[in-house]
Amino acid sequence: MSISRGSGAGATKTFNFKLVLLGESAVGKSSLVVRFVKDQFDDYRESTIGAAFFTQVVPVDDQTTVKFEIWDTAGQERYKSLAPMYYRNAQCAVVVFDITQEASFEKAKTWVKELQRQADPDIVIALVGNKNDLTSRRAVPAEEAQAYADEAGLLFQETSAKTGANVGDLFKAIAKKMPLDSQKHSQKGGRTSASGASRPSVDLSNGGASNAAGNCAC
Amino acid sequence: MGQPDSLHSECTPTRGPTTRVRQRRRPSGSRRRQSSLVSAGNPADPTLPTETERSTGPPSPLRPRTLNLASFDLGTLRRVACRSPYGFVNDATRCNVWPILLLVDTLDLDRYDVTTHPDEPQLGLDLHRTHFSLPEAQQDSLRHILTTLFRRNSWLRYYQGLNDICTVFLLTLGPQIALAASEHACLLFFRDFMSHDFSNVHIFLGCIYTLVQHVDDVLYERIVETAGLPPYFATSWLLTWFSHDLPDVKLAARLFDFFLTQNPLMPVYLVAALILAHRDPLLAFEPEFSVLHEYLSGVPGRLRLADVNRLIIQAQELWRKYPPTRLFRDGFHPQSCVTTYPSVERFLVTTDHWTPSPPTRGSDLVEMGTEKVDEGSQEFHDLNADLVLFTPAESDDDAGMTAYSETDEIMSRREKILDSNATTALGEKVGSSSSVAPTHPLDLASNLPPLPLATTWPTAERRRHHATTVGLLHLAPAIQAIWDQTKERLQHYALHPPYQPSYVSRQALVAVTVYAAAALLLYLQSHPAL
Repeated sequence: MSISRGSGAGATKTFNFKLVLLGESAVGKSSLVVRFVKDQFDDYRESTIGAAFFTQVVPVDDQTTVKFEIWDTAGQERYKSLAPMYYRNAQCAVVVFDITQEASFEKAKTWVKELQRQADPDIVIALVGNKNDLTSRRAVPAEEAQAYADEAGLLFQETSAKTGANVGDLFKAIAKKMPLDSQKHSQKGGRTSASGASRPSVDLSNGGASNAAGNCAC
Repeated sequence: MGQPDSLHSECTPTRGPTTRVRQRRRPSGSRRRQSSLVSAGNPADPTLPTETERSTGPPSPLRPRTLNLASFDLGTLRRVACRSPYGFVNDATRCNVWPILLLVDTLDLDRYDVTTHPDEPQLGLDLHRTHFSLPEAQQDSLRHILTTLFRRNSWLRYYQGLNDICTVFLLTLGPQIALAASEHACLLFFRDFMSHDFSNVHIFLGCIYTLVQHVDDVLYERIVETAGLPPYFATSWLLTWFSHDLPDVKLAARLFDFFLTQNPLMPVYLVAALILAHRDPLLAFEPEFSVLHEYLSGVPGRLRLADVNRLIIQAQELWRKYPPTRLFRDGFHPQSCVTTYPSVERFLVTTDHWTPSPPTRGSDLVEMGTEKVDEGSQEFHDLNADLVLFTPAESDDDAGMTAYSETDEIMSRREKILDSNATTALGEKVGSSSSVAPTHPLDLASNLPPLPLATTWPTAERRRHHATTVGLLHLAPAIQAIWDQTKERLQHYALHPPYQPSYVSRQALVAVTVYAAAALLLYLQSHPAL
């Protein structure tokens, strides 16, 4: 992976985008983001509980860089009730599956549907088949995933967090697809580094202690 | 006081030998026999380090090397856990004390199993992904613990993070005790998180901010109102008692020492203490959700023993100043572990745990203070002072939990409603094909007047009253099944020599009863359609 960090020389503009990683447990979400952010891979990676936060900068061209604020979420089904907090204000999402696990591809499809239903309507979604170093154990044909991605209007990439294959390309492709025209961008509720932050709203209504008897809506 | 900053220099000496001993064997089946809880000093027990393995040098005449367990009670254990810089000091002591706090009896009997549990595939994925890494041999033990736990208690649901909790038990107590300890910890402390969804996790998370707001509304305004920081940075802290986040398993064990002596709500107070302790940086940062989340997420990984000790003291202080009875006036669901924990406390306080079973009489001593501590240092004196001065007398520590604010009127109203709910549930729901989606049982009783948390030390009269009027007997089939299993378990005690009835400790019997109660609660939680 070769991501040259923008030096910020001259008139370089930096756009911030919030990106969320979703997908079934153990498909390699954390490994993917660690490969992208730190260019590292470790066979031993503890499971994610709650969510982890990362940032990484991708230069798009001489004048423009994109800074991704990445939320890496827990994959287990029961953590799903926490996920909306992370994708609610996301401008892009990476939905990951494991090419050796058919079920993880089905799960990815349900995440895509949920995002299309619940998230920002202009969210850019990338479908990622990870672990493509394990082609001998492939269970999801690349063509099938590509066909689904085309039909659903998603970016598609097969990656290997282990070897690093296509990981940089994936995020570069996402960066290029982001609305970098600043006027259009600001209409979409995103923000540039110059324009200050738009605050995600926090709904703690289902976490209030006064509510101990329940009525959680998640 | 001058507590050591480095955990490694103080706490690691025992780890080598204990770990080595543990790796020798893993349980071969679910039926285990061990000598009584209080026999850890018995060198014949292969699961525990022998005297020579544990000692790192000649005993100091100045140091109280042993404490007579007969002088302990819950108040004492609480004070040790809270104020001794090393908590219960070493794994040998923990092997004695943790099972007591968890109502574990070392007699472990075959129980009803389901053949598989729906969460087993996920368990398989997480065995190799624990925060504290396990050697391969120990991963087998972890698999055994987790699968047995869930097969025995099929109504429990697994969440990612339990693997980390069980790892702490495994590394601290060894595979045999860890199984029972993990199971009981789930039943007594973590079961709110183990229902079919995470709604109860949201309740706990919400309590953190309620507490922070009461203590420091400026900080609350800044991080919650301005930055919009949701309390999700604390998810793993609460779900795993920081065992997913701390840098060292010894540090996790020290924190577990504290939590195991306290109400399951105490971790909320410790999290609040942690947030409050970082007030200055939190106010200095740009009030940005991601910045604050990232900062706070990194804090536990940098904690050292002295920090943890400080947080424990502060959490205890917070509990005293803002007792849950005052702060969470609406109380918790009657089936929440927060609400039911006082009965465990009550048991721990009133029961004479320390009468050893006949075969092990004479070894009811617990090793303390065998860690390498520089005897000239302040912390050595603090440690000794703590150990010497502990007396089970006036328990001001527990003041926050003793207030009993509930009125009889509320109580009887609750009971009437519970009664009618139960009747309705059995009478009407069985045959109806209601289109209403199943509700989490902790959500069911929202029409109940809230049950105040302050049910610690209820009077005997009140307990009797409560037990006879709650109306659960309407749920006859479920209760009957659990009762049958309990009876079966009780019969085992008499049937299997050498555990003749007279040898069975009261603790064992009550542990079975408490288990049955917990099983019943969980059953009710998991089968709302009843």
